[in-house]
Amino acid sequence: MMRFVVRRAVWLVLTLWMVFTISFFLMRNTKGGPFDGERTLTPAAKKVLEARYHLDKSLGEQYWLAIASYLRGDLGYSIKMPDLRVSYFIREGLPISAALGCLSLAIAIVVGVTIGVIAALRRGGIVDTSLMALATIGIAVPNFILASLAVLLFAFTLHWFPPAGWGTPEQLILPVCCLAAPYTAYIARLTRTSMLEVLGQDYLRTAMAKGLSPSRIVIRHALRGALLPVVTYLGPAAAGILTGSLVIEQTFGIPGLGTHFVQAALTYDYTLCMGLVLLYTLILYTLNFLVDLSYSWLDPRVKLE
Amino acid sequence: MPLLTVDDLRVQFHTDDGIVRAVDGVSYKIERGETLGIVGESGSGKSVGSLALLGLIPTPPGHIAGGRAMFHDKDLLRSSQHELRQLRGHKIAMIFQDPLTALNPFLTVAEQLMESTIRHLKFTESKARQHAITMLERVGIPGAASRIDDYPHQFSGGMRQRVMIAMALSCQPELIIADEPTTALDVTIQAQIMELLRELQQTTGMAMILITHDLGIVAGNCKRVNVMYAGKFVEEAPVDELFAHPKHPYTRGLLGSLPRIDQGRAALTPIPGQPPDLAHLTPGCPFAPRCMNRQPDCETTFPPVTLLPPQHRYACYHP
Amino acid sequence: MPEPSPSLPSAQPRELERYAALLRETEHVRGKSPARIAWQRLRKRWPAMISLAFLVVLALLAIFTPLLPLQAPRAVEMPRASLPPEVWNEAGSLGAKSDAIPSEIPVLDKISVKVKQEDDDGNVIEVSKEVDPPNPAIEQLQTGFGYDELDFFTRWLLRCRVHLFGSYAWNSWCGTDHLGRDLMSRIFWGARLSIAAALVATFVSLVVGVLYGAVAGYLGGRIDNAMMRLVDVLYAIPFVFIVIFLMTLLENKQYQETLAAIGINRMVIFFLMIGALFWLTMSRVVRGQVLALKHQQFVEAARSLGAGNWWIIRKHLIPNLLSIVIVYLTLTIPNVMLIEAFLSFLGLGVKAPDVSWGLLANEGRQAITPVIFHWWQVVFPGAAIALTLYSLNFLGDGLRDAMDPRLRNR
Repeated sequence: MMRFVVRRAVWLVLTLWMVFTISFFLMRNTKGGPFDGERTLTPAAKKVLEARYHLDKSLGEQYWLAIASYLRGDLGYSIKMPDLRVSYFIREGLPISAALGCLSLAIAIVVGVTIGVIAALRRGGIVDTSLMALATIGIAVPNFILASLAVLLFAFTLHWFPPAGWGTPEQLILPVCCLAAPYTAYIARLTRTSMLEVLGQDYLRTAMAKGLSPSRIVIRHALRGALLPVVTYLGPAAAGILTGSLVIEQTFGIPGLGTHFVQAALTYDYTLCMGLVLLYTLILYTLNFLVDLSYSWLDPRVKLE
Repeated sequence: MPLLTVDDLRVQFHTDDGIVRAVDGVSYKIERGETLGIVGESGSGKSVGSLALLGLIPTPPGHIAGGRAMFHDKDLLRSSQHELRQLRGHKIAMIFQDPLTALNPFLTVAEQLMESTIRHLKFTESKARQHAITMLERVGIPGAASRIDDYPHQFSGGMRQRVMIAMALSCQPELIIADEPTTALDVTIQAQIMELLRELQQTTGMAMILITHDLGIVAGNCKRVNVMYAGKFVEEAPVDELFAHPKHPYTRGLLGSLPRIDQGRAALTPIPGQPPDLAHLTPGCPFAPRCMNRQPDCETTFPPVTLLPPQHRYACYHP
Repeated sequence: MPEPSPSLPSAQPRELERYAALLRETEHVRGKSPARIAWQRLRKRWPAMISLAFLVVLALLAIFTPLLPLQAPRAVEMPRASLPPEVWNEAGSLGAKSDAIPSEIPVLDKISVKVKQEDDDGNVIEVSKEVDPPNPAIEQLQTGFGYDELDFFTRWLLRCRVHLFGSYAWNSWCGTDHLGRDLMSRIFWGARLSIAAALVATFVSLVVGVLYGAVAGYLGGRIDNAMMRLVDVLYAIPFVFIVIFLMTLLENKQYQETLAAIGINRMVIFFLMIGALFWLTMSRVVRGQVLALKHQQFVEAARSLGAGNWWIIRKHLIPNLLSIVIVYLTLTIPNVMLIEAFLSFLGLGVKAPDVSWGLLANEGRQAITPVIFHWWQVVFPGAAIALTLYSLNFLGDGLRDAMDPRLRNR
């Protein structure tokens, strides 16, 4: 167990270093500094800025300086908004994005597993067919189309929810639902498939031969095995929700990390972009680690190594 | 009155290839404390028949197409799932072939043992646990109290089957259906498990249906034998009678392919041909294509059951 | 059966006869090949079959789009901006003459022009050269269809279309976009790009994933362990963000020039990145399957019967891998299309004047606000994406069920 954690931590550091190095050299290799395009900059001001980003030093020196400051937890300044540190954007955006993401993931798991189990138990029936048809729509429609249709219907036509913004619970509902929809659908289908597989296992027959109630058979005997593929999928699902948050935050005007990231990418704000990529890597890696831990907790046969 | 009377049991499956008559008109009786062997090749419908008694046939594609199965005064085939649940694991228990797949890999042995006594005998948690340890000791698991919280994969094959048996016996059932209980085990373990079953049966007085493809196991453990072929009844007789005077050519074929210690190194004679495709059966005797005594009438209608008093029954025109 | 030689002991012919009898018996119990069983089972699943039919039709339409009497996808006509769908025009017909498409492509004689050239000695001389004269029809096709950028086959189809239909074109059955371009035509032309992008990117992930997974699974042991650990690590990297990051970096002129010099354009990078995104799962799936197959008894049985490596790979490994790979492909293509749409949403995908479904859907999304409501601009591209992904999902489900032997007879 300890060895597992330590090994994972080492890999995490290596991964972050790899991402950092590749991004760093791709970024700095662009001819001309990031300030060349700015007409308003006087040579003196430019010098000050370049000193701040260490652009006046050699590439090697820049690299070591950057690594040293990252190790101290200092992600530097944004290039396009030089008065703001990258950590400022993270402090502002992370709580919002985390709330949005966690809520969506929770909804996706709870609703998805419930739908999947119901569909599997009613296999071939009208409930199963319609639930799965619905789930497939969730998978087949791109996120931003779903979001804009939802805004059109629930905000502009029915006036149930506000179309955009952040802060009140009503403003939360639409974005969370739109973000969760594809993953709910996917988890539902996954649960259904694995549930059907588990329902065909010999040990389910044993449980039935013991005269247990159907609810106990499903919850105690079947669900655990059926959840394993779902847990495996949680890593990719988390990655997907991170990605989806880019779209959803843009569409609903939520000032989260995703919005900052897209802005940074579109305005070539390399330092901000890189800081956020590293943060996303850290988040995803941690989530994957938690998934592996929960996997070994769910399946007693799995040993962590 | 017999404990269980099965009369003209029919089970069918709807498959891509058509209707498969997995069990087609099988009848037998079993008295209290008695052991009945049901023998047949794989795919002869012996397991399906016993699963059908407990309502464990996956529906669809399977369904019970007819017959009666009186347990005490209740027809199992016409009981609701709710009624059957009261019986399963309580009055009628089952032991399955492969203990590796038949035990839930995600739950501890303790939990799997305790849940049936908690449900059927209304035991408290602690009493159920105590009872589970007692049961494990009775089936000969060393250090039962410390091993009870292990998972099935931490036991060896033979030990797993002992757990399975402990599980089946924990509510003191009146009838136990053992579906090839030793097939998945090593030969040395097989004997131990059969020994254990025999001993437990004597002490508890339960009846047992022993389903197997191995006439050797039947010889040492059963009083009467029921032979099946392609889902159909073939022959039923007390064990000694069947081994001494088999009537049906199929039974003779089975006995001929069994190695015997008293006949030296005489060659074993396999039954020629292959078992038929259950989806495309002809109206006649399903064994006819492989039968040495075949006559034209074998191919047209299934032979009626002949009774040879006192207890020998067989279905053959030309024994 | 070979005649037993007389020198053999007498027991031998009897044995041989028995084997011959066994062989004759096996003649009757011949099984169906897994592929045939799968196909038979698939045919019974109507959602999968309808999906398959839809996808085949879609593919044919996409290939032969230039041949169809569609309007020019790039012909900007501001007076016709954002017109709602119109199936029958005022004249009551389904189509009309389009000004943006030439009625014929005249064959013009080559003309000779004088060009200045340097001769061997470095003196500038004038040489006369035979060149194609400026052809107004081709120029029209250039503005309407981007003729010069098309490949040979597409150009040929387009010329056939002009010969067949002239300047006749269907009405704007799906309406027009904010620049007055015919939406149906853009959806058809966008299908070509979207489908091609999905197929190429999927193919990249297929090749990389299958090779990587098969090598890891086949070699096993330490190498397998290391290779799979790398995959685990890569899984934890948010590739989409890195792709976005790289895409923005590559917007930089300097990189573009360098890359263009070695013949890599934006689309190629796009394919490579998406391929890189999806090979991970593929490699895991393939590796698992290879590992399982390697220890299957039928493989060992074949080996014990003297089958060579190549025979085992061809007869046992590939057919068994194929099913899982095909199923996975039907699930990767939708994902690639979603990513394409996603990148278009961020403005990092296909760039105008090229057109893809993601681009259309994103343009359509912007046409829905509280003040303007051009529903057709989002509904039709959205429906095209959704229907395709829907079909692919259903086909994938059907295939998986059909190919899974455990599910037989269920």
